[in-house]
Amino acid sequence: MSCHDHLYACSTPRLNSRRWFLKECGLGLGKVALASMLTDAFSSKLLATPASASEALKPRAPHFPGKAKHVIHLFMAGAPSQLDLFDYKPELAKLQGKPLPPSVIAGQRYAFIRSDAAVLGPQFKFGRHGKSGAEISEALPHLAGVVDDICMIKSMKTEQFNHAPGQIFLNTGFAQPGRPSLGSWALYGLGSESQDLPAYVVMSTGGGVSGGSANWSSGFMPSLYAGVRFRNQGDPILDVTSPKGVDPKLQRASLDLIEEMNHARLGIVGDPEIESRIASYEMAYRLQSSAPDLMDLKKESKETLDMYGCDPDKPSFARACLLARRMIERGVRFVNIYHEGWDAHSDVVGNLKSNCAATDKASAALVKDLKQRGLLDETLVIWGGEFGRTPMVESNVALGRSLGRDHHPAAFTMWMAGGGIKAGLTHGATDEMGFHVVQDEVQIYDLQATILHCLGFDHERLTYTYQGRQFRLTDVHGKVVKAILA
Amino acid sequence: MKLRVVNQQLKRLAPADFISGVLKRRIFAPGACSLILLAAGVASAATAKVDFSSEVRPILAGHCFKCHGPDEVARKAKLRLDIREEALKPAKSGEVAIFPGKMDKSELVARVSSTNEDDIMPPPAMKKPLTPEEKNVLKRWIAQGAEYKPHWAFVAPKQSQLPKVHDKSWPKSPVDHFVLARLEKEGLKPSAPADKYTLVRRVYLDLIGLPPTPMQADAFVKDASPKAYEQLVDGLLDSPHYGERWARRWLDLARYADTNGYEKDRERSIWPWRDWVINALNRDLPFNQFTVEQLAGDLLPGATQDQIIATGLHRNTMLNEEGGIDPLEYRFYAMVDRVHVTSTAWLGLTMACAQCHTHKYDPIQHTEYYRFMACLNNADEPRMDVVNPQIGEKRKELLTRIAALESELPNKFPMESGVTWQIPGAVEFESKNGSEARFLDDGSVRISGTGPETDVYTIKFTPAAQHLTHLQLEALPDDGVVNGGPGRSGSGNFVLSEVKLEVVDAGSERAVRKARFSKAQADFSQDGFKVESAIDGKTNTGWGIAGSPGSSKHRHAIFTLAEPLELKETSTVVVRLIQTYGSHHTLGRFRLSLGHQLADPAFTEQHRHELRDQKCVEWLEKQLPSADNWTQLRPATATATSPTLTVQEDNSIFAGGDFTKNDTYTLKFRNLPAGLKAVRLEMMPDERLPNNGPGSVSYEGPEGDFWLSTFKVKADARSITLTNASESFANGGNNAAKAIDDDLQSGWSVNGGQGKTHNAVFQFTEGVTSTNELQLDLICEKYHAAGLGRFRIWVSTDDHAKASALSNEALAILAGHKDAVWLRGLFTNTNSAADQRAVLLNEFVRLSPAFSGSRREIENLRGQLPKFPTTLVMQERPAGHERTTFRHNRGDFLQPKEAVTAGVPSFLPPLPENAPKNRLALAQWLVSGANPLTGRVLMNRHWEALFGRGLVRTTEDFGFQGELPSHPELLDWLAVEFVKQGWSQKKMLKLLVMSATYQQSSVVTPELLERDPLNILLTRGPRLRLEAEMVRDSALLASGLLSEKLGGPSVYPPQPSGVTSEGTYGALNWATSTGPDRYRRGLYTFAKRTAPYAMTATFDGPSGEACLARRDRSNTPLQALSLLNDTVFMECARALGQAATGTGGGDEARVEFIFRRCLTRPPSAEEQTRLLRFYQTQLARFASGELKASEILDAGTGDRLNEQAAWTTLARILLNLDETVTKS
Repeated sequence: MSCHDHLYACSTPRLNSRRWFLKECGLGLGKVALASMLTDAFSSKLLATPASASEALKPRAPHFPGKAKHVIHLFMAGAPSQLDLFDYKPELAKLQGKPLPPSVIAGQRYAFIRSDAAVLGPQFKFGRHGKSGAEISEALPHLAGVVDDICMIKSMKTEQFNHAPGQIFLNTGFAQPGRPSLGSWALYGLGSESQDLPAYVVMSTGGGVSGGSANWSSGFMPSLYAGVRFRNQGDPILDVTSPKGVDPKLQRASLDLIEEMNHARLGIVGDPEIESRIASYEMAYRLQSSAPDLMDLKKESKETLDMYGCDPDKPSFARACLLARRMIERGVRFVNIYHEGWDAHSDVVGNLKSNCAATDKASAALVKDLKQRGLLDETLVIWGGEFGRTPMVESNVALGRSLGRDHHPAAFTMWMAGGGIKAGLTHGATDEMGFHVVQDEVQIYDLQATILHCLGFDHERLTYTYQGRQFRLTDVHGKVVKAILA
Repeated sequence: MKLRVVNQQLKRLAPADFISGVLKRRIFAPGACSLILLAAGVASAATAKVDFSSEVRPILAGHCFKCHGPDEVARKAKLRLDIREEALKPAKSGEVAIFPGKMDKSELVARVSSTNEDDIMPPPAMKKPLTPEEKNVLKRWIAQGAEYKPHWAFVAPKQSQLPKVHDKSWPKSPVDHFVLARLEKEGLKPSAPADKYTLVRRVYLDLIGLPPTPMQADAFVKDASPKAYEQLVDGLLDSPHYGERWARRWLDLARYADTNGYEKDRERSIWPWRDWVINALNRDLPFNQFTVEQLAGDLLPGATQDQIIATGLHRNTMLNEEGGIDPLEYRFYAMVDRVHVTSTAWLGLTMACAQCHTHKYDPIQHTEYYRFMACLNNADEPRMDVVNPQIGEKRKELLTRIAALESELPNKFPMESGVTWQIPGAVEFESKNGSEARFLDDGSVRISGTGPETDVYTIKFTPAAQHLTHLQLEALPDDGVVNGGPGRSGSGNFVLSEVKLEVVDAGSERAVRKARFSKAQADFSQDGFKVESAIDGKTNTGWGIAGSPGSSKHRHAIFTLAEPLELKETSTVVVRLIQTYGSHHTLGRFRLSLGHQLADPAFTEQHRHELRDQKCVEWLEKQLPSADNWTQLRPATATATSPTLTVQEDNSIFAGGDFTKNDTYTLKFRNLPAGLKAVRLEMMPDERLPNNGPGSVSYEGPEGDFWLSTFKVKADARSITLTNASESFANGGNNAAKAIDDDLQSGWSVNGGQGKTHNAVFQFTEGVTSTNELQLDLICEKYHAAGLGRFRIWVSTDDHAKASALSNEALAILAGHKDAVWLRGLFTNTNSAADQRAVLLNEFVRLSPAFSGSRREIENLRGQLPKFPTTLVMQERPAGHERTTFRHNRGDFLQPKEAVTAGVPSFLPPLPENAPKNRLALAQWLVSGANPLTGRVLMNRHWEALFGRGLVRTTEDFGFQGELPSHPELLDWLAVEFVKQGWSQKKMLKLLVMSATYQQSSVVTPELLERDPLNILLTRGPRLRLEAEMVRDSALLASGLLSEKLGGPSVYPPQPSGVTSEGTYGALNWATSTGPDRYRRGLYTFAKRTAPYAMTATFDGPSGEACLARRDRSNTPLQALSLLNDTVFMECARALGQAATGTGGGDEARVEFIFRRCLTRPPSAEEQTRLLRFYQTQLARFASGELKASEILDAGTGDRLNEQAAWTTLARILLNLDETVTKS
């Protein structure tokens, strides 16, 4: 029985398994002790010592075997219009040009428009696709091809109606910077399985992300749970390339001497932290060769490149999606791809055309590709923005805006695929104006609870103690959306 | 050895280990450390006396207080367990939870032992069951009498007697008695003293954040005097670098950064506050004053500029500038943050928990949280000029020159050029590629949108007959043009390829006369785009205006005709602006004027004045129709939805306080003249306003502007219809008429005219015969807060009153004599009414186009006035305008409940009775000496800085959930001593580093590692990886590159490209500093919240987004990559390599040179041999051409390049050693 199996086998794993773990897995008290996150993860407060460095990212078993081992979150930053892509509302076409009834709009807060703004009908045609007959806009022809592999949630609702707070809230469960992100929780709970790559990778295409690094921050958790940016310019990972003039032989010789001297130091002062540093230099060296290997998309077949619509030499959303698949193959736990640019305050049609052109093909290809490689079952793919857009038109001569839609927190659509999510399902519904959720509302906390569930965690038990309080990703909220689980 | 075995086991357990780190920030269950660590010595037999604080309270707090603790709302069964008297009372059920000494009568025992799901406590749904051991502790505690003890941290500290120790020779300071007594109790011995090299390096790094140079180290090592160490410490505490090192720690708590955070994340200027901290620490400002000045410096009597700068502490909160937000919502979050920082930094309390409900564990009521907030919540948040003498002198100099020029202005009626200008106003506009134009009232033309790539504009005029000798083209900035114009390219630039002019004479035969230009002049031309290119006959050259300081400027060009053209009454002038450069480099807003060269250039001064006066009269005559009679009103009441309005002595109204995105100002007037027909709104500049006003916009929109969406008038509660609106100035089409058009989105704005007075006049449809009360409602609604700043109201009974740019004085004179004859008389008969003449002439000089050239010269000079640096500060609100603080249900901004008064949690000493309960009172309370927390919290954090771990490990939580102190008496002794030493941080730091405890060797044996793995018992000296800034600072110092300059604006050292731009919404172009600024200490690096400096972030530096009491000390491959490959460290290696090459002695000496620069101590013989061999190997590779010195050195200078390169590779190794980045 492996350490992890034993953890599963225990009905009340808190104590017994810990004891067993400490005893059988060769880690005694008072030695370089066990990573304390176990303590927290299983809500025990037995002991905990700030563990030696090397513990924090060891692979760990979750509360129960989760279907998903990896997550790829395609974050459509800026918030795409659900009314033109997913949530078809013919009633809006009828109401076009008129204000919505006061009963619908009462009590809402808006970013730019007034609540009595006129209605704007759907801007694209919709059709039904796949065996599931899911309804999708013509703006997403490629996604239409994989509808039977995805689950659309049309009843998303958030509390935030501005970009930075909305994005940070979706990622961290709190609207201001300072808390750990979803990816950090995943690492904290599961550790890392990638030998030579960071376990939590962040890429971005399109414009910049409103919430900035707070979106992939580890908040009050140790900083090694933070997302690592892969960049489109220069080194994909900062400083992964040796300086000019340093050839591989010199780099190796340098590392050998560094290790030799660090070892000698360890022998004198006995600080186990030096051992960690030696390991980190060795891993850095491996990273220097694994990163270029990862980035070398020329090794992919033409079919694959075409399926994504990826030019290996140019940064693009398609390239990021293909890289994400390659990362998953190499054991990366959590990948964020931000595509910012959906903030259509004006010209919603033009905005959707260009953003769909940039993302639709690759998003669908990612699902297809993971599926054909047998990776979709263990990889959870999430697609969506931080909120939705209003059924009402945004137009403001003073700001030069017309035919746009404003921020809409009350209802929007996301889709998920793989990793324990039911395929070919459409979950939840909005009213005939697409304004409010009327069936199976899914709050952001519910989404977070569901993602953690897919990874094998009870979101109420995955806690981290900070400032005298046990924090959860879902704060005091959240229900797992069981209906969408496979 | 044993250690290796352990590590191998770790590896076997989980081979796939990517990153590792020490988890310094995590917090553990209270008491856990002492329980585990000391388990060896503590008997667990049933008879042993249970300790309430370390054993019982943690269990109660962790499992019971949530429902049976301080929070009344959450309390179940009317049972409260955190207070003994309450716990002994019968609960709702009648049962008694705790019956001291009687387990069988105690319901608590029954309930925790129960196996019945419905009875067992804690309820299974809590998912926090008790362990058998925990149950046992509770039972024994009750059996032993259920004694409670007050929480240690909430009781004032006392200085106990120094504990007795056996080894009397070891202690060097009182600290050591506590430490040694404990070690002796545990049967342990302290470690040997650290060797002198280790010690000197340690104390340098701790006190000034920099390692010693080899020379400094040797000076200490060779000094055999018993006072040597103390002298060293004193010297370091006197070093200006001391302030830099210790300021950085305070900056972490204060969440300091150089940008606003959130989406836009724009730059802010608050570095003067950072410098204040450095200076305050350097002069050892006692901590009580340090506290008072930062929280309430502005409230001190006769507050100095420095004391006001200090209040920047709580201006380090983030600011959300997203368009859609509610500013007051984010102000509320800033207040929450202020409470959080204050309670963490001074009290070590997790007060944040009480934002939503009464604290579950600590005795902090929900209401008390908001009472604490109320102490801090009565300030406005202005930006302040930091006046300094150097800049002040320069300003004074320039201002004197400007004043002289201004007084000379009336004598500068433009005769030198002899050109008079006329702005005929276009009558026709044609675009070759379909741009559409609007004609504006000032004779200019605006073309909005990006438009076609290239274009040719054809503009036609029908000017008055004259002698045409010049053509002037003014390019005007305009918000209605792409990015503010004047060009449409996005950068504001345009390229005028060619300008053509022809005159078409209508008549029986249409004759066309083409002009030829002989000369072109411009106030500014872009390099390579000279204005002459616009008349060179080539369309592939042209005039452009890009360049410093940006293209969005008013620019003008004057083209001289080779031969004058005579214009007839029937002539049409046709101007063609050919713009073929491409990429939308076309004009967005411009104005053309026609010049007339006066015949005789040899005018005398008398002629000049005569002509000036003549033109002045002509100009004034044109002003007469809009010179109306105005009566100034003083409001009877002035209120606003959110801002606070105060009526000034001059009857104007000043708006301050909190602005929202929809503010209505309501003004009421009585005692009005009969027959009112118009209202005038006079917008006035004020230096208290951003950009000097007249609006209040301070962020997101143009500073100092406003946006008047709607202007409403009521007479005796009856709405008056407004028909006509005019203004003296408007930003493009955002004119006064937009304030009466029933469209809330449109409005009047004066962007571009900040710092000046502007008027808008609103005419009534019908006169109001007699009114008791006139009410004005002014609504300012925009996607950002855009309220009026300072303004005054006038009324008129004149028909057709119109807005004028004339001063009130001039208006009154003209309105008193609406008569051209009188006007001419005034200027011809110069013997009388000189005052009036002077006023009117001044208006001519100030406003007429005739003086625009000279005025522009003055404006340019004004633009060169050096600005004082600014900083963000607090300013207590004026009496009568206090801000009310509410309790917010569930901590929700949208659920304000009852108002609360300022106060502090009741379990702590109260605020002083006889003083106003404000920030000053709160600050004084924190450092009154009676507060049990402040001294302990401070001393604990200093301990943590030196030893890597606080005596209370949870530096930010001294409450029930925090960890218990490992050495409680020591902590209390230090806390009391701190106050005794006059709150001197330097004295206390000296006391700590003088201790034998601090001076121990950090070498750890396997036995010690097993017995005290985390060094809680202080069996050895600290050994810790350096903080991010210190890692870089040390490398810079070692390489000789470090700039020692103190303070000033933040700098931009090298970092990989794209860190602050790629993937960041508020992208910042990181303009890497050059010269010494490239090598400043880390705390001066520009801190961008959404994209922190990469190297700092990699080494666990903060983002400045939240208060940070403790940093992680992780150990990751990304750190290795940074040290190995980053430009910063390569530059250090090169500098070190070059310096080594230049030193005397042989190669052994050079190895030692580099080694000691990095590690301080001399190398061992073995190390030296090994390093030398590496050098020789690399040198051979460089010599053979296998490696290229020019590449490693990045085009290095000097000779012996191969040697330099080889030494660089060696320096790189030494900069990467664990020992180099570690304090040991």
